[in-house]
Formats: sequence, structure tokens, C-alpha cells
Amino acid sequence: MTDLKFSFTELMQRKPALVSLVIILILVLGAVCAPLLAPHDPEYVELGRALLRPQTDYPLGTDHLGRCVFSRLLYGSRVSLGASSLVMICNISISLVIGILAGYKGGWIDEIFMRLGDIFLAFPNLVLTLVIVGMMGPGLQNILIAMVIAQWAWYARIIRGMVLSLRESNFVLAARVSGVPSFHILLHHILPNISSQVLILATLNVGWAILHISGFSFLGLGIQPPTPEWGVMLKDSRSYFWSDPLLMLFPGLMISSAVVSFNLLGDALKEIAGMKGNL
Amino acid sequence: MDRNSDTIFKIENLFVKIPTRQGTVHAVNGITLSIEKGQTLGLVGESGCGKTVSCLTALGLQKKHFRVKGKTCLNHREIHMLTPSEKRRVLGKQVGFIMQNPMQAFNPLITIEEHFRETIRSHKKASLSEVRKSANDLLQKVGLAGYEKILHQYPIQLSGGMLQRVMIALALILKPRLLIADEPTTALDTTLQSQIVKLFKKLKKNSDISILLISHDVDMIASIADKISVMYAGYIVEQGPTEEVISRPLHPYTKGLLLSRPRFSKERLHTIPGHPPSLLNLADGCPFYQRCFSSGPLCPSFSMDLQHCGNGHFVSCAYIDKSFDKHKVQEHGSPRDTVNF
Ligand SMILES: Nc1ncnc2c1ncn2[C@@H]1O[C@H](COP(=O)(O)OP(=O)(O)O)[C@@H](O)[C@H]1O
Ligand SMILES: [Mg+2]
Repeated sequence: MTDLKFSFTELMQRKPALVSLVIILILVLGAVCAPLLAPHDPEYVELGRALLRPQTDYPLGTDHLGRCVFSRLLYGSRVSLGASSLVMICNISISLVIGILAGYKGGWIDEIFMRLGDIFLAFPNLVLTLVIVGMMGPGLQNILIAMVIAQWAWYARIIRGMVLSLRESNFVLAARVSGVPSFHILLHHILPNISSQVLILATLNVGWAILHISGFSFLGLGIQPPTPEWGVMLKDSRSYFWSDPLLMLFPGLMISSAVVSFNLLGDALKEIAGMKGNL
Repeated sequence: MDRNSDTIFKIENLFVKIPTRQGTVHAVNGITLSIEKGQTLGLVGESGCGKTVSCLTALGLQKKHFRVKGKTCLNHREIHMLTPSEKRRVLGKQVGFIMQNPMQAFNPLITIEEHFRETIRSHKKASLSEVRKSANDLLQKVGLAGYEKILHQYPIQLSGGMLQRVMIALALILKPRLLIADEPTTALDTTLQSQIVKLFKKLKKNSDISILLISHDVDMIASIADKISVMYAGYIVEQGPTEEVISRPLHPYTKGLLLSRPRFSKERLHTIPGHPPSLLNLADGCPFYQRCFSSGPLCPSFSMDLQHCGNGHFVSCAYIDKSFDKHKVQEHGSPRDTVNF
């Protein structure tokens, strides 16, 4: 059980975590202020200016359709970060509700949700997502739904475990002994005590989601061109790898720095919370 | 059931079996207890003999997988018949419970004041200043006067002894009619122990609260309780008025227990030979007979029923020996089993 305030000061003392946090903040800031920062319209095609080297007008050059790479990266971070946050929020809230219900109420509710979860957990994550996308067809919305369907059971199981051990803890028993209503126990004893672990799960989930959304877009299953997105940009620049390697380097760098940052941050939080094992 | 009696709390023939991977733990094997209004009952027994499990189960707070048989009445109402919300309203309000491990019994993320607020507001409306006032009053009574800061501190900032006393205050804050105190002095050092004992005595004198006092410390129990129940391996082996049990113990286990108290004398301290039996897959018959100095052929199949021996004194032993001859007891303990003090 850790105090969140306490964790924050500890977090500041860890270099990798601090660097990750700064990178994440920069990415988020860039995404939020994209319209102000972007020098060009990310979707404006100007074939005459295709494949330019980085220069003052185009800080990171232009792509094969003459679109400003820098602007596209900025707008792309909106899509990548926004979509993966959405996946995370859906995942965490669904699994919070289910995990808490199953862990705290127990009995048949627990049995139903956990057996249902077993079915989802029986398939490898990626395979399940691919199958669902295959059935529903490509597109951002479908990818998001598929990712949540493929992931909720895993998180619900972890959260259920935390709730279960807290439910058996002495201070929850003490609260029951003094006649505290069970909803109050849930809200004031159980939820606050799992919040730091849930934050860690959420952080790691965002990293995972960024990677997968870009990955699916790269395969043509996710976000469709011309929408600027890191995975789409990576895919578009594949044919120019030998002539203009920078075109692939930039979106690749964005994806990896974002994913690595979220993972490092999650790991640091995990370490601070003293959590053992793999999450 | 006698509705006219003043029995406030009654446990009747309670059995608790705990299924585990290794087998069934026979934690409680048919205990019967009753506490009258204003009376203090001391439940004494070695750790692991089932004291905590008994009283938590009696209040319906056992873990879900425990198998329970028997009934408990609080104010002539059967606890297992109450609806969950009725039960919730009884707990804390009519029964105060002092839990065994004060260090683990507080939510680490909320302050002591929030614990008080939560307990009080679960049962009645109270403004923050009312909560503070009654909390401060009680903290003063448990010897935490002058620690105004306590209310705003988090559990980790307090010592075990302080938490133990906060716990007592929390259990008493709604003026329950029954107080169950599970090892209330175990976490404390000797000076604090005597302070808590004084507090219990004062509580007894100044109110008609009934107390179920649980401990492994016979002396502490004897100094407070009106009645003593001796528990061994999930059985009540002896029960009776404090004076009776202390001066005329009938069960060999009780005799051993009384002789093994350090009394600052030059005498050799007696220890009961052997170890308490494992409650896992406990066999029938008297669980003490392998360690007993007066066992006989009847012991392994003895039913463990309590027999009345006059003066409200009950014992469950196949060979009741009315003499309390400590030399006889000591003869049987080998020299290895005695400790020189
Ligand atoms: N959750 C549990 N699972 C298995 N065994 C348990 C559990 N809780 C208690 N026990 C066993 O029940 C017995 C009685 O425990 P307890 O009531 O805590 O003893 P004490 O007299 O020290 O309070 C012990 O042997 C203990 O090992
Ligand atoms: Mg105990």
C-alpha cells in the first residue's frame, strides 16, 4: 500500500522515470497544442514539394505527397495518444467495475465473470485482436473495440486479485466489525488502496496501446490514410526507405520514445509501490 | 431460551471447520459461552487454540469458506438470523470489537479522525465537532490525553501501543453493551498493560457493559474477569467463576497453565510437556491427553462434554482429580521441561 504523494517525490529521484515523464509531457503538450505549433496543414498535398530535406520551412522535411512531416507528427500524436488513452480508460474502467464486483461480492458473480474472462484469456492477445478486427473490418473505432475486448479480462483478473486480498485484510475486517456499510468500505478502504496499482496498470496499458494502434495502422487495419498517424506515416514511407530513410526514422522514433517512456514510467511506479512479479 | 435472564451474549455449541489444502482445521469444536449483563468473561488459552476464530465467527464475520455450526444470540436475537443490514447496525453499536493486531487494523491511507468519523457516522448523524469531541473524550480515557495531534495523524505515525489504545477508544465510542477484546494487552509493554487493565476495571465499575476478554495471559484475565473459560485446541476444557478456577483448577491443562505463570518466586517454573496439538485433522477424544500427567484409557475416546462439579464450575475431563497438588504435577514434568528462573 503506498501513498500517491509519497510516490511522486520518490519518482522525481529516479532518472529514467523523470526523463520518461518529461518526454510524455512534451508529447502531450505537442498533441494538445498541435494547431498552434504545426507550421502547415498536415493533410495539405503539394506534389511539387515532395520529399524535401529538412529546412526552415519544413523542420523535418516533406513526405512523398509534399505534406509537412513535422505537422503530421504533431497531429499524429493527437491520434496515437488520444486513441490509446481511450483504450486505457475503457480497459481500466471496465475491468475496475468487473474486478471489484467479482472480488468484493464473490460468489456467482465472481464465478461468471472469471469463467468468461478465462475464455478471453485462452487466446493470445494479438491473435484475438486480429480476429475481432478481421470480423468487424478495419478502422480506428473497430481497432479500439477489439483491443478492449481482448484486454479487459486480463486487467479485471489483476484488479480482482487486489480487491480479494484487501477484502481479507484486517482493516477491512475492522471496518466491518464497527458496522461500516459495505459500499462505504468499497469506496473508502478498497478503492484508495488499489489506486496506486491501478495507476501503474494504466500507465503500462497506454504504452501497450500506442504500440498496437500504430502496429495495426501500419498493417492497414487501423487508422486509414490520409489521417496523420505514426503507424500510417511509417507505412507510407516504407517505399522511400532507401532514398529517404529520415521519413521512416521520425515516426519510428516517436512511437518508440512514447512506448518506452510509458513503460519506464510504469516500471518505476511499480518499483516504488514495491510490487513484485510481472504485470 | 430464557428471555427473562440477563444473558446478553451467548454462544451455543459452536463448531468451525476450515477446509485447507492440507486438510480440515478443526478450529472450534463445540464451544458454549454466555455472558450476563455487566459481567466479564475471560477466555484464556494458548495462541492458536481458536479464540479469535470463535468470536469472529460468533458475530458472523468469519471468512466465506469456513464451515460453521451452532448459534449465537445477542440480546436474545440470533445473529445468524439477522439480515445483513440489521447485522451491520448491531456491530459497532451494540458490540464493540477490539481486534487482535492493532498495527494491521487501520487503513493506512486515512487519518485516525477519519476512522472515528466513519465508525460514528455509520450509526448516527454527527457533526465533525461532535465526532472530535467524543473522540477526544475517549482518547483521554484510554490514556492518550494531551495527544491532540493523534486525530490528524496517519496510522503509520503511531506506535503499536498507541494504536491499541485508539482501537479500544474506537470500540467504545458508540457505548456498546458488549465489548469483545481480543488480546488487548498483547501488543503492549508491561506498564501500558497495567494501564489497560486499570482501564478495563474502571469500565466495569462505571458502567454495566459486558466484556468478553480474550487473552493467553491468565493473570491478566484473573484480575479482571468474573468468570473464566479455559480453551484448549478448540474446546472449552474448564469454565467457572474466577476464584473457583484459579484456586481449585480441575482440568490438568488448567493446572499446568496456572503453574507455568512466572510469579517472581524462586520456584522452578513449570512447563507443560509437549506441544499443543495441530488442529489440522484433529482426532476425536481429549486433545490434551498426550501431554497430560493423569491420563488414562478413557481419554482417547472421551466426549469432551463439560461436567458440573459444583459452584458453577464445569470441567471436561475423564478423570477429574479434585486435588490441586502442584508437586504431583511437577513430578510428571521431566527435569528437561522445567526452567530455572
Ligand atoms: N483462514 C484460516 N485458514 C486456515 N486456518 C486458519 C485460518 N484462520 C485461523 N486458522 C487456524 O485456526 C486456529 C485458531 O486460530 P485463532 O482463532 O486465530 O487462534 P487464537 O486462539 O490465537 O486467536 C489456528 O490453528 C489457525 O491456524
Ligand atoms: Mg487470536
